[in-house]
Amino acid sequence: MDLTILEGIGLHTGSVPGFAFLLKLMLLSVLVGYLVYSFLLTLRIRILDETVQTQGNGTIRMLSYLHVFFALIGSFFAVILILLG
Amino acid sequence: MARTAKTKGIPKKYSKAKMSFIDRISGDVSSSGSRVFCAFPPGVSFNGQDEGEDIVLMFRQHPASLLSKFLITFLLLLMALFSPAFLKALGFEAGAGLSLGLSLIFFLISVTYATDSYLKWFFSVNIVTSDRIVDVDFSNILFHRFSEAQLENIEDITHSPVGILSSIFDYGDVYIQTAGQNPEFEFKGVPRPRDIQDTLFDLMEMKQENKI
Repeated sequence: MDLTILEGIGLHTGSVPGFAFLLKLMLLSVLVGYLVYSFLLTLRIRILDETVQTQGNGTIRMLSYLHVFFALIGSFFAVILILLG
Repeated sequence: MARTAKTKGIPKKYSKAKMSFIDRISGDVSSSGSRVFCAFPPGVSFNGQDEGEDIVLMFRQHPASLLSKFLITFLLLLMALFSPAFLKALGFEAGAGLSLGLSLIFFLISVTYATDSYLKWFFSVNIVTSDRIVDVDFSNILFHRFSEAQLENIEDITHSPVGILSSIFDYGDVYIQTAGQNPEFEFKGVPRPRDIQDTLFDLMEMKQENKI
């Protein structure tokens, strides 16, 4: 019940971080980078959408929003799995 | 009658000029701007387009140039499938949650890589208008380049198909030497480079004769 975030990623008070801890830390860092990248991609698409307008731009903009939504949901589940794993 | 059908969708000032490029690109007229190669695309405009400036050609890289991206996506998906087994082979007994989390991350990365590649391909467009050439280069999420050069400033145009794939799928690079600040334009991996070169030469000729 008193599981803290640190215990969730495998770090107990006074223990030496093991491979599991390092792997979880690395995966969480990758997820943060991944989310930042996904948001930046959506922002860049918004700029380019105003630079060149074609008939397919609406679909492409929708695709980029769907992608960032998918990235958010997927990352949320990945964090839960990593913390519990 | 046949000539009318062939030049349907092409503004009269171009079809009347009887330049060779009209025959080359007439089959690509009225196609949506979402396609790889389109002539006089309807509903296409760009930032800074002047009134009365016609978009003659709009093209992107040939889809065959995305083959390497497709292979990398496939490899990432394989890694998503086999990463738990790989951890096991390293002698690390990961819990079910961690293994699943790792697979999910590889899956997310592969989806993002594929989406990112497609979006970059879609927005990296080359446009030839009645006044200028425009090159939008979207190479990474922190940088994109919008270059343009007037047709009058074009000095030399070269095209070269490179590699086996370009011979199979008929695509190549077009190099344009200009007198402006950006001395060289590169349209990389574009379909039908000969037609692009011919169109540019004809448009330059029409421009010199004040036909456009």
